[in-house]
Amino acid sequence: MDELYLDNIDEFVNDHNKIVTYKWLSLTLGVHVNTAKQMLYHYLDYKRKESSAQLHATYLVSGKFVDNGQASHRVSVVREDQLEDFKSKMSLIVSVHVYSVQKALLKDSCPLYSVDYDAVKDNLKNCSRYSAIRCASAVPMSSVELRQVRETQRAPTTETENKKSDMNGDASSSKPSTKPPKGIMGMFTNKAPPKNQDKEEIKSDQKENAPVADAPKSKPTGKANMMMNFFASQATRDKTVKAVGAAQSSTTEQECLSSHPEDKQEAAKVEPQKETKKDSRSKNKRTEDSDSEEEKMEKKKRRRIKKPDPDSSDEDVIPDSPQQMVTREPSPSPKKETESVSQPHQGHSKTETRKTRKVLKSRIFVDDEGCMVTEKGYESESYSENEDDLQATKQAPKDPVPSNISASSKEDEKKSHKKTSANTNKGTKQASIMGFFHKK
Amino acid sequence: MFSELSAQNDSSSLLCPPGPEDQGPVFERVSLAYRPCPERYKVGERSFSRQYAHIYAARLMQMRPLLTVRAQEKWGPDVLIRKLCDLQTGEQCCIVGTLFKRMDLQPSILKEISEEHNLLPQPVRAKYISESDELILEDELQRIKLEGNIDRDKCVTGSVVAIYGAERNDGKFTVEDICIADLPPQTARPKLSSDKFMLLASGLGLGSSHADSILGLQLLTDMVTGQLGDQGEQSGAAKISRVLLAGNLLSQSTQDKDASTKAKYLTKKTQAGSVDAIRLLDELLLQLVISVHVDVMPGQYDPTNYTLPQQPLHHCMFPLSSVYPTLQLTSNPYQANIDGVRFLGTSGQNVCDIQRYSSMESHLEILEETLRLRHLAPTAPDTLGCYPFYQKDPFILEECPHVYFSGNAPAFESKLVKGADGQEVLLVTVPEFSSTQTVCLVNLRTLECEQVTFSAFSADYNESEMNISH
Amino acid sequence: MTTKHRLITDSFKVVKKARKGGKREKRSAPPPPPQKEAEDEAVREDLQKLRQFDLDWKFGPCTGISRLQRWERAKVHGLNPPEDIRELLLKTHTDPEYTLSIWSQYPL
Repeated sequence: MDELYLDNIDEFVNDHNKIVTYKWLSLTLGVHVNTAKQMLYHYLDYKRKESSAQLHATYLVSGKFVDNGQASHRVSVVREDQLEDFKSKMSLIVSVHVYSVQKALLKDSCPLYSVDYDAVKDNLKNCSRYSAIRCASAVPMSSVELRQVRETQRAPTTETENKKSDMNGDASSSKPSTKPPKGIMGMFTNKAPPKNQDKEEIKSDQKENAPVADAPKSKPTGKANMMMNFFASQATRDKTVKAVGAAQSSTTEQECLSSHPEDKQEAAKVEPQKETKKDSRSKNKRTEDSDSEEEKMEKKKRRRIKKPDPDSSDEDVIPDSPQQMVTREPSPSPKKETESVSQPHQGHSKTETRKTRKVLKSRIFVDDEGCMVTEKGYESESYSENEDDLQATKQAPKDPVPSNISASSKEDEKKSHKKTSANTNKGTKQASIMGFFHKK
Repeated sequence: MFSELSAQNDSSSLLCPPGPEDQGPVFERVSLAYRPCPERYKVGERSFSRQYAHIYAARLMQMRPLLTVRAQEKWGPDVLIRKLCDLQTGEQCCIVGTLFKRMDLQPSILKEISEEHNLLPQPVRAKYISESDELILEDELQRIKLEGNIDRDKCVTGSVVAIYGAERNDGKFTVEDICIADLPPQTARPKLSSDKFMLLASGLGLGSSHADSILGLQLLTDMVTGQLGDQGEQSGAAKISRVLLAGNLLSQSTQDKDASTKAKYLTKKTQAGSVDAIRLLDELLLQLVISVHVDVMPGQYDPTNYTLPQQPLHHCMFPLSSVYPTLQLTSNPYQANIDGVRFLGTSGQNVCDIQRYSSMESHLEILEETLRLRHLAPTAPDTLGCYPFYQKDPFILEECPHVYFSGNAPAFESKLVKGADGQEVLLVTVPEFSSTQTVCLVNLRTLECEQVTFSAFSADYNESEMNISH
Repeated sequence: MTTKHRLITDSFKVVKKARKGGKREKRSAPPPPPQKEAEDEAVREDLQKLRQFDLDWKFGPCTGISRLQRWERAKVHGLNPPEDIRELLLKTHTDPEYTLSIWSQYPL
């Protein structure tokens, strides 16, 4: 076995200033936990001999401990300086190994937990892959099995969720089931658009304030929307939660940026429709209103608040460097990738977006308020699957609105940005103001 | 016992560089036959239109034949067994009935209402017994005050007993002796060929504001799932074939009292404190169920019904872990047959309640008492929430368990009780993990029980160490 | 014992009769009365028996549960409830006047 890992660990410990626990190492390098423990020991030993930087280690000691005549098995994490002392108190030592290595001296053991927690969280499904115990019967049930089991147990209403949870849970979940979750989660997905629109509302409000034209939304926005649908469905998980925040902030950004006075006609067209949309949405919201939903929204809002710091700085930079946008455009995708490790649904969202890109339809219809609306939109079957209720289908074609102005128009947009500096200035001012509002 | 078992294996040290053979050891989780008995504590129809009179009636109906037999064993086959309505003053006889302890200090909503006008708020008490308590025996029709040779403070309302004595002229009954149902019959447990363990833990207390115990919990998980420790430890851990979490997975602090008192519009947007805790629990359970069978009992603070029997937590709260067949959401009380070893126990509400209403302090003592009374929760429905059963009282022990436990105890205690008919019962009080960092391991082969404690250094510990060294 | 019972039921019957009687009259008003007399008599006897059953304390409290449930419970616990009560209850299992105990009209 080559000793590359020594360098690895060294990098983690010294360069990244990380607390390296055996479990984290095992999950990160993909080695058996015992091997990871030995690696840490080896590293520690090697470094000590080298007597370079000072390192601190914690050890795990377990064994028989007799206290007041009552014997117990004791499992402890101790610091190096307490190790011998601790060992001497044990009446029988079962195991001793390095638990963690880090540069700083740990005051208490809480950081150890958080390191492990993050590692485990990233590998929830596989967290026991490198452990020393296999359990033959711990095989996740398929959705069908689950349903059977639970049907026998009772509760007819829950089976949809089960299916859901299964989809959520299974890391290698089957792609074909692009169908958005029904049941509780389904509600979330349906809810997600309004959320998004919430933002749009704010935006359009601002539009009213300062009649800058409404904006063609760039493609990524659409993508992000869809992503958000998925995220929203899973927003219960912190990770995704973060992602939502990120995705959203990027979306808002996009929207802000794109809301420049370019295609005024188009804007004019879109504007009224927008408003009606808004109305219906708010109605929706009211009717569908539920506590959990609101909580959700609020949570997301809070998240949004947290996130945008880097973005805001971005926005400030914009007037000087319009290219920024180009760089920003792909920004959602890397995020996506990172997510997709833990989020099977990411995959779906990707495929779906691909679908949407293909089918571009323009449709003319009279909306609720009697306005004639032309709408170019990417349409895909996935939408009709997505939204079950009527309202949702109504909204659905609207969601793609952002994406209906194709890449070319966006390109135009950018060009015009470059050309008309006055415009851009105006626009960006607007953007930053809006950014300010969003943060609120 | 676990330590020795784990230490037996000659352990290749982990305090050395990794060897050339990259592969660490992998042990197969020991499995065993598991037969849950969910029916007994399942509440089907949930009708709350009945009074609790039925459960007392059913209890007495069920217990009377048993106690009659016991009384005849104890006081001779021709002992005179009377009902209260046939009682003759001065006649020595035996009466089977339900105890009722009239307690001045017992909180009562009626009292609060009637004395609303100028009543000082009652202090919160740990115990409600007092000198003025009166012990009363009831049968189907009548009741009679008891005096004499009976430990008033130890007895609790709802226990069915047989007493021997005579009624005096003043209408009180002088007790000479008392007889309780004692251990129910037991089916012998099969001889197991190898050591297998059942791990009992309770009171994880997730979601509490002080997170000291959280690393301990992670260590527990890591030990059970075979992550930490030497090979020997891991091979020992592989023999833990089942983990039972006996209630109070969530901390009491997740039940914010505000929610019930605050106006709805104020709390509408606040998230229930239990949401995050449940998510944490789900992740924790996931780590466990990937590697071992886990039974999850609800407890006093967990999100399910409050009254006993508590129904299993709903699986939709555990989207991650409930996909695994290794997760069993069970009722409280818990009853299961594991490799022929019968487990019975609760999350501790019954024991805590008796502790409040009797002079008994030790959870272990109370646990044994309930076993001998042959009733899991005698104080239900008086001071302990309970579903209004009418046909049978499911808390009566009809068959003797091999392991009888209660959760959320202040400390670990265990005891092997031997019955007159050769019964062998291991009594275990499972300590609350969040305060003790301790769980217990029951060896199914020998019925030995040992505690496993987890600890991690902390700033405090360091200080105390320093003090010692000074 | 039994004398006590009779006393209670007798006195109770008077009260109950007034209530239930009124009810039954309403119901049996449309059909012609001729053979009703005999039938009424039989019904009255049956109900009387059921009330006797209700008031037998040996079988436990009777509020909140149906007569049949109470009968079954008594059976489970080996209290030998009279078979004919069960037959009667099974025969008339749809009529609340038969299935529910005499106290069923009273709120808990």
